[in-house]
Amino acid sequence: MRGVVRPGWRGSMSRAVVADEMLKAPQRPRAIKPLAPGSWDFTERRRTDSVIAEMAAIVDSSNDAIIGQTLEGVITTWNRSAEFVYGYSAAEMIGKSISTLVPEDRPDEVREIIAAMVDHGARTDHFETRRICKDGRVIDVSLTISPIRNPEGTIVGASSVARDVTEYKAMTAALKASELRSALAVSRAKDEMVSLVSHELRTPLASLVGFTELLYARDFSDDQRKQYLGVMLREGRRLTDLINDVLHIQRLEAGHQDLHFAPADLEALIRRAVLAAGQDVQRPIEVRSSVVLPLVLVDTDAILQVLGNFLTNARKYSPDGGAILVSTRMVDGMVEVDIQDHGLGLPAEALPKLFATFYRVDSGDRRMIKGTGLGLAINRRIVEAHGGTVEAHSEGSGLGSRFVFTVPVVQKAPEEADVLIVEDDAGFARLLQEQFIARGMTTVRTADAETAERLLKDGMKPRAVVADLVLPGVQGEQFVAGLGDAGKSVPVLVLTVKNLAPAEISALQLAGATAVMPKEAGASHAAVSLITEALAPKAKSA
Amino acid sequence: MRLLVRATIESDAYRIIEAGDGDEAWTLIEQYRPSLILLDIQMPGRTGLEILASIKGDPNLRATHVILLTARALRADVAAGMAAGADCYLTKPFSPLELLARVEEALRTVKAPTSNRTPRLDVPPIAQSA
Repeated sequence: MRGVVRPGWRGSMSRAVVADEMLKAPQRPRAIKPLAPGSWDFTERRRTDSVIAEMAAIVDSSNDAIIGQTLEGVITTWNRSAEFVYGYSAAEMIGKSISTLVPEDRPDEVREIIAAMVDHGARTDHFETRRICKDGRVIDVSLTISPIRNPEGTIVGASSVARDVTEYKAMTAALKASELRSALAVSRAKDEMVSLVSHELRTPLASLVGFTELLYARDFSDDQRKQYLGVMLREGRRLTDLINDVLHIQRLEAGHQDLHFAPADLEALIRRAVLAAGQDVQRPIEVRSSVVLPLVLVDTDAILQVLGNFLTNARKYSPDGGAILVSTRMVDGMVEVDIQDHGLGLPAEALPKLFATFYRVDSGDRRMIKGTGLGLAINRRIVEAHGGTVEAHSEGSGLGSRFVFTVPVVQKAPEEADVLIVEDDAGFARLLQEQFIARGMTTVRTADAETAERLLKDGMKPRAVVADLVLPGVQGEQFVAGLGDAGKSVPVLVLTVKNLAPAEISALQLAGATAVMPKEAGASHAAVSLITEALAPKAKSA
Repeated sequence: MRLLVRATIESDAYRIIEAGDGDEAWTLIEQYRPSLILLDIQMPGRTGLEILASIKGDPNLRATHVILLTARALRADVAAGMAAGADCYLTKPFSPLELLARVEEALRTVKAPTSNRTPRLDVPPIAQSA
């Protein structure tokens, strides 16, 4: 084996793990055992040489510093990476003590590892320690130390594979620090939220508890008692709103709020929101649209809430009255809704913070106006969940406010669907859709009759219609009657919770309903079966 | 909130003036020199703690009794308030009867020195919510 160690290899690691062992085992390398046991002939010897050379190349090209040493700690081999890692050349180190590399604070480390290795024959894996380089740098290394045995199995030395983990450790430490920082930021934000919630909840609670105690303990005049009870009722309702809003925001933030996106006629939604806002002669709401809007893809309940919040705010912050204008337009493929009032307006410094949780503009003129500071935060979250944006504009205090939000339009008109479902209950609609899909039919669901009418007007030709009667805007009866000839050529199934009189059922059938079914347990299944059967002959003829 | 405090302590014995925010409160305090101030910590304009510091920093006002009302039971605020010379603090929701007891206790101790000089005035807490 000595003959194998050619001069050119000197100092290269070839001798480290592989050759070192061979120094003690000239007949047959134990570490590499690719050869069949047998006579030690010339061919085998040559093959052994080539295997050793290959192993040497592998060791030499390793990125880890690989060092061989005797049990006494004398370095016997030193690979190329060891030169890079520690800065010493092989010539400098072979024959030297391994302790050259060991920092003063751990003088017995190597001896202990070697002793343990000799006692138990075990190797030490990924032992993290430090080593000194030629230039005095102390580096972090991960060591794997394995025994080197002679052919009799006696441990005669050790190989150590060292990986420089200085950078890795620094990076891990930096990462941990940054993780800690962001964890701290999250926890701080949570603390702030808790403290805000605590403040916001305690104030109405103080009125409720305080007045209750006073009314309990003392006699008041009727007028006073009524006044106090009025405050209690108001504060109790405010507390309810607050709790609802806080929970709502939390659901939105946690992503637990399921949004049911469906095509919708935004103008119908706006009309409905304006209707819900009620009459106020001092603060009338005017709706204007420059173009016929495409259908939008929204969760109708959520967008109604957004519109409701903006309209309520517009009225609330117009204490001296003034018209409110809602306008819509197309901007960059989105529909933009603009709610403009002539109220108190917004100071410039408030604009960036306006959509933050619990933020309320603080000025004398709005101090008497109650609010939770959550409406706009909820609006922002809902709109952003739709892929839209919200913005607030104001020329300044006293000059009115303008809130603008965008919602996405339906990209592709759903002309090809088999079944049109008009159902405002998102859960029931989903049940129907799943069962139709299971039977190989495609569906489009709208949450109101207006959107369905728009789809049909735009050229949708469903092969069947399933309609609810109690709908948010236009009612199902009117929708079915409005289907006209289209309704007579395809099956129209009415599903309703209404307890209909026979005359009403006849009227529906006369108007074009193929069947009228009560919405009860199993209704979705029955409805889907009925439609499937009604369509079956048509499918054959087609 | 101010209505609750007024309903609690209103009687023939005290004259009460109210302020809607911190800045208004300071104006009224300088103008009327009340014997006792019920001060909300968190309010628009000057905060309760800022007003407390101004009172205790003014030789003419230093003897004024101050009861802090706070919605957030933040130890730091309360400790700062007590260190700045507040008589006591009540956390919302507080008991009106306890508030009354605290007010009576505070005014009893100031009766003698101030009764000749100024009329007794109490500025009730200054809260964002009316």
